[in-house]
Amino acid sequence: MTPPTGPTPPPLTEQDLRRSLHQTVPDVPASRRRGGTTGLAERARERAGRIRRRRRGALGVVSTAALVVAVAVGVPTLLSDRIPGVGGPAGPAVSIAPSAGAPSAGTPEEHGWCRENPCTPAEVVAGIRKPLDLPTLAPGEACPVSPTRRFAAAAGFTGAFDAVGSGPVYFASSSADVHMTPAKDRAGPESGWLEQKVIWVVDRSYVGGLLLRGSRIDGPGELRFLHYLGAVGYTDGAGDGKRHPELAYARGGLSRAGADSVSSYPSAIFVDEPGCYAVQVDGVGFSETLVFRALAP
Amino acid sequence: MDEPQRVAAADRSGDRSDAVVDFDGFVVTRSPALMRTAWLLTGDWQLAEDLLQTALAKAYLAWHRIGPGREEAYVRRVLVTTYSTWWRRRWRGELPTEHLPETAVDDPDTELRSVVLAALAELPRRQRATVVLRYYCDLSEAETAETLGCTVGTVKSQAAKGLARLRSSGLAAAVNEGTPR
Repeated sequence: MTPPTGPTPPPLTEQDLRRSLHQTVPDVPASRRRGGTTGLAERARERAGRIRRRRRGALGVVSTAALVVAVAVGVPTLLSDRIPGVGGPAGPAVSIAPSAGAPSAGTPEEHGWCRENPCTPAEVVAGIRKPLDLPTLAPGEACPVSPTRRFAAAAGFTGAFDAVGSGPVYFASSSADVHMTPAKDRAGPESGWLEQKVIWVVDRSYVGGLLLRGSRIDGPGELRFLHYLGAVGYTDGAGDGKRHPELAYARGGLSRAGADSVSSYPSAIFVDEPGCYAVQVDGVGFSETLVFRALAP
Repeated sequence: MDEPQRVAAADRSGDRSDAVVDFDGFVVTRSPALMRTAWLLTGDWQLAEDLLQTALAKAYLAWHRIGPGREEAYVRRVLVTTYSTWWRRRWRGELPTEHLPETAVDDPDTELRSVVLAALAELPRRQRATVVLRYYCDLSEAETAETLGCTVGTVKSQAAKGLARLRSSGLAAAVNEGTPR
């Protein structure tokens, strides 16, 4: 065994950490003191005014939009599909008809958005990005998990499977309770994150871009994604192993030719704490929110 | 009439001048310290300023409800909560080149700063916030728990995990380099 070549540094103590943090933080640069602290207060008040106006406007828009969506989607959905309730057993396997409200079928190049815009991955993602609007929960409020439905075998699944969501995007899981495991860095030590593999399942009728972003909604907490096959920016052959705040797909994902009703994207999610989490999925003409519980190992 | 009642009355009457003065005075005296805290959380002055402005804006909307002497704790809590749920920003844990301080290349503090920021960037946000509150802001475990909206046990756990993570990074060697023992 080769002996160490140099002295082992003493372990980092709390005192060392305190000293290094206080030693490290520089003075606020002069360029950041423009207008002085009075200017900072003035800008904060202006921003407060915008927040106040946005809150008042959002309340009216959400109420109106909810009523319109409920009328447009609720009646056809009730007639054509049965979606089990939360925590209840999934119904019999069903073949997927295009979800009510899903954009029209076609290749990305034929899609209405691509007829008018360049279809490079970055531009597709920029075109579908919408303001992030995740639900927030009051203390003690139950996690409003998304429903679970059963799919016939398709797109890499050898049998019928369950997936969570309202469509056109879901994640494969038997329920909205996702059992997390400690994540390890490539070197082996635990990273402090919790992880779980996820397969994003998409109605085959929708082939446009997707942008996923998420966060904990019952308290402070972060959610990140693994970039894997089909993800924008992914080039490594074995998963880049990093934890990204956004996940995007510019074209239809992995799918088998034939009568498959869904496309599938293997990935993984990372959270830093167990809790109630929401993922907003933006696409061409829609934005969907998936809500699930991340359970401790 | 005590201070909270005076501020609330000024607000209700439509005359916010007293509340504005209170807020401005707070910003003048405490924003530099809060800005440095925001910088440790984000690692970037531009993001830090944006984060602090957002926190101050939210605090301003609730200013009349904040009890006297509780202003900094309230703003700090909003700062950390906003940071924890703030992921629209493209946070890469690196200082953009144009924001590097203009100091000598061989300044040991600059090198240590880079190592510290890189080590902090590896922590999940909640751990990072816990480490900053406990070891930079010097808050007690109870104060940290109140700021983060969690239990003291969670603070202890997150602080221990964060410290363990920082120990396995290059930070220990960089801190102890040149430190007489």
